[in-house]
Amino acid sequence: MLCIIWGIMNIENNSQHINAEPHEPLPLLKQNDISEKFKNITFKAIKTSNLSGISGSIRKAYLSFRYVKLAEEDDKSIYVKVNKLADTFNISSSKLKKIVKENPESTNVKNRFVSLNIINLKIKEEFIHKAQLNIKSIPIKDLIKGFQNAICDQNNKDPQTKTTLFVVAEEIAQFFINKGLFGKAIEIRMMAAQKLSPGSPLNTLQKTLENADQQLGAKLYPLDTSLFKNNSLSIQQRQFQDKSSSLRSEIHLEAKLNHHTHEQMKKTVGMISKNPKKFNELLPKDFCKEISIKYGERDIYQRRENTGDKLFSSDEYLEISSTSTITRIHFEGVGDIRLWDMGDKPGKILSHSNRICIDLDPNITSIEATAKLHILLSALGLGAVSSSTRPVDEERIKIMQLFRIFYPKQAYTFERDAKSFENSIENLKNDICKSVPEMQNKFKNNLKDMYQQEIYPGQFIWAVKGLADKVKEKGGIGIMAGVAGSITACFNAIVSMLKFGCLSSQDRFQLGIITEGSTSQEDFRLGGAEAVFSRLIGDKMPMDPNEYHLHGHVQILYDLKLVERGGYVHPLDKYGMKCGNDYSDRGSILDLAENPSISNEVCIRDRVPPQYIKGLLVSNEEKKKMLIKVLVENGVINDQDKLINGIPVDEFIHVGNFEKKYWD
Amino acid sequence: MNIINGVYYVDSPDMNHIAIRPEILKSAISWEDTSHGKVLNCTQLLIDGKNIDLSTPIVLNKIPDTIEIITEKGTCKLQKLTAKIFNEKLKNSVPLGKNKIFKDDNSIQQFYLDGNFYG
Repeated sequence: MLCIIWGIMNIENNSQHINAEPHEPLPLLKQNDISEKFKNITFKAIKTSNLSGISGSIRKAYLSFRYVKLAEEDDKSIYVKVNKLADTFNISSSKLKKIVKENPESTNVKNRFVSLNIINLKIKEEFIHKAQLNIKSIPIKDLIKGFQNAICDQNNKDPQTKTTLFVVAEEIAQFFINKGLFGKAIEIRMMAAQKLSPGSPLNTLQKTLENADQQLGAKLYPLDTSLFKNNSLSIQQRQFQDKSSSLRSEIHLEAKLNHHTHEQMKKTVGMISKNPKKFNELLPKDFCKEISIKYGERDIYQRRENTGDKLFSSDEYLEISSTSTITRIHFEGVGDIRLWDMGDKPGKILSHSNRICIDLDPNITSIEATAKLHILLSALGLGAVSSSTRPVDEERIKIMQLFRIFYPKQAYTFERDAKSFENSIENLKNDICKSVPEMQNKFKNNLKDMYQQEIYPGQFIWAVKGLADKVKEKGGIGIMAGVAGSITACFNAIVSMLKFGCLSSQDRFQLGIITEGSTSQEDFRLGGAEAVFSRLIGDKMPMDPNEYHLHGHVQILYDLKLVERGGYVHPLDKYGMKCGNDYSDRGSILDLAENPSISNEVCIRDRVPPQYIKGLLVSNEEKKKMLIKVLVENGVINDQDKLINGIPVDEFIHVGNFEKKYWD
Repeated sequence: MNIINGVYYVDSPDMNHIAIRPEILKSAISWEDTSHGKVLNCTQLLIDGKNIDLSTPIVLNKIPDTIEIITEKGTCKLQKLTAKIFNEKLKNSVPLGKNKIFKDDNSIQQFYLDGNFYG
């Protein structure tokens, strides 16, 4: 068979080898910057129709797998030495051979033809998989090389791959920070930010803001689990009336960092404070004019002028008195970041622990906001927020949630250990089962049945199916809360709760829903401000609401299914305390249901949506009539169908004592 | 029901400073505040300096000026909220409408008794 030697550049010798020059565009690799990797490789380009046309030594070498055919175009083929190719990809020759064997583009096994794209993809996939599984198991050298290889791929469109690459970038950045190489750390973070476009939900920011509830704002959810608590970022458009009477509008974002994220971010803040100018130079050109930092401002919540309005008061606020330190980093032309310190020391505000607020510059529109936030968050080591939650993240959340719900005391230390966020899922499960062998059954029986309960429109939490029934089996009837105040104030509060849900103090203040005259609150200091308070009513407890402290004029009867989303409980009134032994040694809802005291606390996180209000209880018919009148006037009860939450009024508003059937 | 229809300043750095409608129930006293309210189990209760028997209904001729609650952990004193106390101790840290001032003690009492701090 005719064998034509086809050479582009220099012919090596009579063995028909041809070198491709570094700048030579390789067949099949046009448009692909991966070809950059092969600058120093000697390629063998041979025109051949089959192996029999190749001279003996090359044929032998090819068959013995010293060469693979990389590309083919028209009448030319390119061969490359396996060991050189493996070197370029920084993998072993045996691993490369495995990839080629498993992914030949030709059906002819003798024709070991595989494109660089496939090799690169396979190596990237393997790296991403390993990084997802257990990032700590990858040596830093391999992590850097793997990252550099993967980040160059223009096809990094898979949101989960993006998330992993951000996580990898941050792992490398932390390595550099620990070595004192801050410049390199920021370089890596910026490389990730610039190569990986923002994914969902950050890239839906504009739409999210447009569709946001006027009263409740909106949530960017779900976000990568290892950075923020609750897996979400609150977002709100706020308006302020300046003294000059001009209206300025700014985007406000708020979240709580996980403990280990806060520890890492403190190092970045320390780096910025030492040399803000240098830090700015590491950011993309023209991103920000100047960076400045200041400490110790007052801890305040600004008040919204009117319910449901975007307008916030510039001079009305509620101050939370504390010794917490707030760090403000001002990015000129971009916005301000405020970071609260840990709140677990005396005088600190536990509910503000690890809180982070971002107020974008009023000149930044919602269209520009995504790109600016993408860089800003990445610069601070929160780049993974820009991308989507992976199945592995969800699995981790579910595992921790399940553990916390059944064994809160044992889960306490796990929640505070960075390893719980870094460990592979299998290792995490094994460690939990070592600590509490009974969790083996919970993983087997409950994990697959977990479902999502709504907290806010667009924000959910994993819940354990059937937990409410187990509470009932132990004697629990339902959960309730008294609404106090004057009768008028109480009824107005009921209207608001049936329209917007029951909000925790912190969420109300964060949204600017602050009643005039509100004072600094104890539940912020103890951590309970994040919860909606309720009490578990058991079948052996008094059925007369007046027997309970703070029973108010109306008792709200909450759906017992709310306990399925976890939260935390105290056997006695502790104001939702989230510190000290009372919290770390607390029991589960099932422990509480066995023998609940009259002053028990069931703390439900953030918000109870209206659909979880099963009914209301008042002391007499007169009050019921008055309440119905107020609910009709405010549009909570439709005059025609007389329903509340889809339930007939008389089946929703009860008179007298608690009865089991009210919760059915 | 032993409900005192008044508003008090709570002299404690760790507590919400406003106590609304204190209620004595069994051996405990509870009150509404601008948040979830507060319950304290007491070993002894002094109203305007007089020791109160916690096991019997209380008859009050007027809204007391002081309520001292002695618990196992210490003493907590509630002082009837006046415009003077409000202006001195609270005004600068609470949100109030523009130019809002409380002319007299009655207006500040009524303001908190009528307030909706829940919804």
